[in-house]
Amino acid sequence: MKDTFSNMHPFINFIFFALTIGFTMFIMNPVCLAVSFSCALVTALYLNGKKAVRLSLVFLLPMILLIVLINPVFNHEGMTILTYFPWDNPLTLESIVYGIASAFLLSSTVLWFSSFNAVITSDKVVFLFGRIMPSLSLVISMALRFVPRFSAQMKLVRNAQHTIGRDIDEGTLFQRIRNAVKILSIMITWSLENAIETADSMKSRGHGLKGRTSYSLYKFDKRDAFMLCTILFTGLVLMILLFTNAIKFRYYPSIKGDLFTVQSIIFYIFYTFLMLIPLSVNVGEGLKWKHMQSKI
Amino acid sequence: MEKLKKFVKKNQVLLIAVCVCIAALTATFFAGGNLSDSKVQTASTASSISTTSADTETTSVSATEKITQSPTDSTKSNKDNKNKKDKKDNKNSEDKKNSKVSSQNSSSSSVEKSEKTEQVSGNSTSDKKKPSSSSNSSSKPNKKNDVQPTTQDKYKTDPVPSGKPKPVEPQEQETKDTNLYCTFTITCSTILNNIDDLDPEKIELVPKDGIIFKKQKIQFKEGESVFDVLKRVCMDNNIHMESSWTPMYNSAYIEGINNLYEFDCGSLSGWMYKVNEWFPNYGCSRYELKNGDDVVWCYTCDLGYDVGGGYATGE
Repeated sequence: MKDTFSNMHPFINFIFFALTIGFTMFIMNPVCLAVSFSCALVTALYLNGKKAVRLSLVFLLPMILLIVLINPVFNHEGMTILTYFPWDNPLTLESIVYGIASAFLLSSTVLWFSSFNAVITSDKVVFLFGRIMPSLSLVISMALRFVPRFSAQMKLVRNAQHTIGRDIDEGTLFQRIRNAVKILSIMITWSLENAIETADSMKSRGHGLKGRTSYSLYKFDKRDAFMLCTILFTGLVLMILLFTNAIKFRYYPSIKGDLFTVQSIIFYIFYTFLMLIPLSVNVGEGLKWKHMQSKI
Repeated sequence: MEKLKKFVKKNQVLLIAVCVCIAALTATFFAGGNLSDSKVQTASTASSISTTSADTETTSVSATEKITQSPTDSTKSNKDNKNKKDKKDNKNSEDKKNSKVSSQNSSSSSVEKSEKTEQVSGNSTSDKKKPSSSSNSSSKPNKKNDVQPTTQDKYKTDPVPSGKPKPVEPQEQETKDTNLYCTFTITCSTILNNIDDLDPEKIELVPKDGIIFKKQKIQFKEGESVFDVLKRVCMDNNIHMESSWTPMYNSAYIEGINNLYEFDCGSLSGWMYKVNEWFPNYGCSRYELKNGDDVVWCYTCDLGYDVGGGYATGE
């Protein structure tokens, strides 16, 4: 699938995700939650395809159910008492609703981060922060690369151990534990050594030295400037509306909040617009491509 | 299913070990502070614990000396407490830590100061909602104190002033069929004086006169505790109430009534109870009601000083 959004300047991508994830994490208004969750889901599906489906079914769905169940069990605040638990504390409507809201908040944040990982690759991280904080950006990019590299190396090591009959599903219980510990120790040694090697080789190439330029393909063109202005303007409007309490909504002690005032509807429109940017950029580019093709 | 069976068969030992671990952990969790006593005794080889016990031994001895010296001074020292109130502002930071415990446990006035500071440090470790085994170091001296009944009992309660009812453990509580009557009130009128400190979302919850439950005659069975009656009154009148069981003090702790929670009106706020104008120095599950008692639950914004029960928090 074509992804025009990630071909934009890394700075644009970063600003977009910083704003989106920031707003998602701090706004508990139910309409905003619904908007953010659906946009995050669609974007993740577009960018990650099958992986996003797996993530949402295997990880997010159980997480949502768990939070929805757990919150009312441990939180008894709220004015509407539905019934009483066997341990004499009340089950309240507010705690159930709050559980649902926080579950959706958490899962939309996770979904946005999955899109973030697809768009902002480790080379973009190094590009973005390499000048300002060289060692930190190196650590971040190494950490991001660590998990996939680790699992790939793990496969190699397990295969090698398997050939000499020391895989983790061979032998008695104690033998198996011993094999597993051995593989783990191999992996830890490898990852430590690997990290030092990477850091050393980056150092010997002069990473983070003063006056050193680095080659990158990213150019800040007109399209990027336009996009930056759009995102910043939207973000500014949302911030102003947020600080004037346009979308105030509370869950405790009673559910209260005006969902559809003029200000809040303006907020929802801008919010939806911001969250749909990557998708609309990609879809718009696809349509343009097709249109141009048909002209030839 | 077959795979599961195979897996269980293969990892029998591991599964059993995990189950035993979980069972042990839950047992410690529910037994809470009580079990930790015996555990500390056996584990006294640990150097850190043994040093603390050496420290507390000396303080507890000095405390008992003081108490035996002045058993008649109890009324006088009550006055002392009022003087101490002036000093209280300096101690606010300490009091914050102590306030969670305020309505369950309170030390009587004649306790030495050294004892008190030691208790504060103990309470601060057990400040979490469920003090399970975190109170190891502080519960150690109590075990010792069992031998000397003039100091705290095993639920960290100081001796009850003479003429006041002794605590009755809820485990030994026996309810009979005899119907008795008491008067019951729930009030939060102190909030009206401190409305600026109150969480703005909760202002609408405070009644105009501050009385959540008007003074009423309540029927109860003989042997029931204040907590039992509070629970029933709140359920019958559809008043919200949340409590949590605290094993260390062997009593329930009232976190909030009518959605007004502890700390909602400043960091020194919470619920306290008094029976016949006396603020008991132990938890509401341990107070057995008698016929004609007058129970008042009141919200304090100042660790009990604004409702007249400041001494009950251990000053």
